Amino acid sequence: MRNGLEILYGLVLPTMLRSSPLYLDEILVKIFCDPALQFNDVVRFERVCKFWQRTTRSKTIWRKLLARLDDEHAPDLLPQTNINRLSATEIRAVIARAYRKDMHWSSDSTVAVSPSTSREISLSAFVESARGDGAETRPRYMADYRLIPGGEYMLIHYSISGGLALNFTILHLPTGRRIWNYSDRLKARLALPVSFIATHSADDTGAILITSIVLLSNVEDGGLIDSSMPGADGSFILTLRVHLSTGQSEELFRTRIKEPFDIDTLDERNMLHTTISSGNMIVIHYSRDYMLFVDYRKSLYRWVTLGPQGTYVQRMFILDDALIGIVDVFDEGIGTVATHVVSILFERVMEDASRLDSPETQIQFIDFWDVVGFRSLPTSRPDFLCLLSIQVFKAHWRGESTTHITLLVRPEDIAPRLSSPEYRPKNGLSVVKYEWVPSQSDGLTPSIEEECGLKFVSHEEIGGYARSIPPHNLGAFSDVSLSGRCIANLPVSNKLQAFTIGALERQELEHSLPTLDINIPPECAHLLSAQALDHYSDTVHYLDHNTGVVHLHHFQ
Amino acid sequence: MSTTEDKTRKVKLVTSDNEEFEVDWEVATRSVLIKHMLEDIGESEEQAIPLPNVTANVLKKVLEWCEHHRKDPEPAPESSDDNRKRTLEIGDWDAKFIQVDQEMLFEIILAANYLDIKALLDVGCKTVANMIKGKQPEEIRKMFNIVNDFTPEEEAQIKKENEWAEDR
Repeated sequence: MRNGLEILYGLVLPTMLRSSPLYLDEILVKIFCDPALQFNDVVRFERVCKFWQRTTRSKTIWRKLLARLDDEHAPDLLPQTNINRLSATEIRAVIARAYRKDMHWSSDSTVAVSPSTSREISLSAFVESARGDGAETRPRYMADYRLIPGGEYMLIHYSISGGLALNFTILHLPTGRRIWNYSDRLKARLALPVSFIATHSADDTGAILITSIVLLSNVEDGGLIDSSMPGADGSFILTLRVHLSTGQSEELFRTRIKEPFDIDTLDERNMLHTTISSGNMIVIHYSRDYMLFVDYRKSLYRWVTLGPQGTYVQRMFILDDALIGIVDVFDEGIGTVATHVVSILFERVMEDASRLDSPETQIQFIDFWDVVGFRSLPTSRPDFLCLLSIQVFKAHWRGESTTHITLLVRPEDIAPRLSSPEYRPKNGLSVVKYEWVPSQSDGLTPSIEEECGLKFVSHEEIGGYARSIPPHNLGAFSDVSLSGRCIANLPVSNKLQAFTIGALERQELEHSLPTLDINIPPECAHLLSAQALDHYSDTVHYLDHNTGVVHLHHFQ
Repeated sequence: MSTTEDKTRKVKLVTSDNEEFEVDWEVATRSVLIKHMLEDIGESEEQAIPLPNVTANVLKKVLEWCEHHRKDPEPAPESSDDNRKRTLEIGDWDAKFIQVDQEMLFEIILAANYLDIKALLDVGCKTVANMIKGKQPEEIRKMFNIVNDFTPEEEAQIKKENEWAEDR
């Protein structure tokens, strides 16, 4: 009797090959594509024989495996990646990384999770090299960085001599090579770099967009800015596109905004948010009073006031063509605060936008709540939700269009908190979920809400004594990465701990939280920001302000 | 679309070993190949359809499947989300039907491919996939009598590269 596979190897009539829908190797590909088979099965097939090894190089197999990756094995593909352009080898590498990362995080939780690699980048070294041109020698400098999503590149911003220059460098982290440098000497007595952001371009060109906001004061020379308004205050907005593969860059937008209010009263702390869409929108949040929406391709802008009732934006981010905000509304009369989740479609806010070159007198304000499309009702009691962490998740590699937004919050009764600095909230953490469906008019719909109560409790050892750590003692939460991990700081032991929202919901954290094997200086740990964990690469990063060194720890 | 007349119509099929089968039109046209050939020859009921790549014992088995699934809806064309729609399980009747020796299993796969019967090809491929799932390379070689044509060095190299993933 013939063995079955011998038949597939060609012990058949050649005419059958020509007239059949599939060639024989395609039948083997079809078998390998079966949903019953997983990554580890196909990897084993590569070792059966050379014919099977060649067959496993089919792109079809890896596309199917990629499309079957579950949420726990989310691949580190940027949303704008064109999967069709990836080779079989590239897709295989993406899948392998997803499994490796999950293995890394899923290791025994009683043992501290160690980073696969760690790096240190000294920001002061960039300032020193900038001084080398002899232009400025004064010791004052400002330096900051952004890890470009994906964890492979770092954007470093530094200004010397009191902030009168805008210098950018992009560093390729694996090689330490500077792939792009940019310098812009601003003509002002004071130029305070306030905020900058780097995002990937949405057009799959491998480019990134950098937007920087600088507050200018006592402008002496028109130079880079509008010479018709010398001496005035204002903001300088610059948007650049940088091609990472070539290091070439171009200016997309360069303008000076004359604010319709006195920015002397604003300080760096008050200028809370700057963000940019993947398309053409820049949104700037000034203090607690104003927001500026700029469509830089159409040269349109719109001022939005946050209203007299007291609206405070805890966080905002951009999804597709809308701004999502987590905002608090104060009722100062009775001393209450209610937290809402809102969405604003850019199309709606820019309906009657002004041209950037229009006269100042035409500046018109619109009230924030007049352009809000979706507004959630407070979903728990007390109404004030202190936002700790956000998870924004879309399984684009499976072709899904719905984005799942999960908020990790700490509900608090604001009244006793205001009256007593010793107030400790009685509630634990809550998880609030929303879904963003771009095709719907306002997109955002509440899904489910789950209360986690006080179950989020950990134990830590202090001098041989084990004690429970209630949730409100955890601080400095990062946002949740694509792999579902969030990190938070335990202030007493100064340890970083990693957990998933799912584990939190399942209340599995009573006894152990996986600890990260990272030594963070005590003065830095509580400064970890929402961006401290890179969304795609699970890279933990922070700046030690004492030394000017950025520490990066890769967990993949 | 089939008509009432089609459903009562008989179709003659001739295998590579010259055995003739007379089956209902509805059964025969589970095969896209036969359906197209019938469309080509038109109303000529007497003309037999030659199937030079299928033997009688295999066609008999294939027709058994077609008979059972004669009322099934037309399969949807392959699409990007086909992957998600395909189930992990084979239906009870199909699972019993496909309990054949290995040679017959692959003959059915080849016949389903040649005759363009997608659902039967899916059942066959899924059965093989279930057979090789979780198996070590050596077990697969033994199962299908496959010669290991890697040099020991080549095999060691592949094993070293994939070890972390194979053991998952």
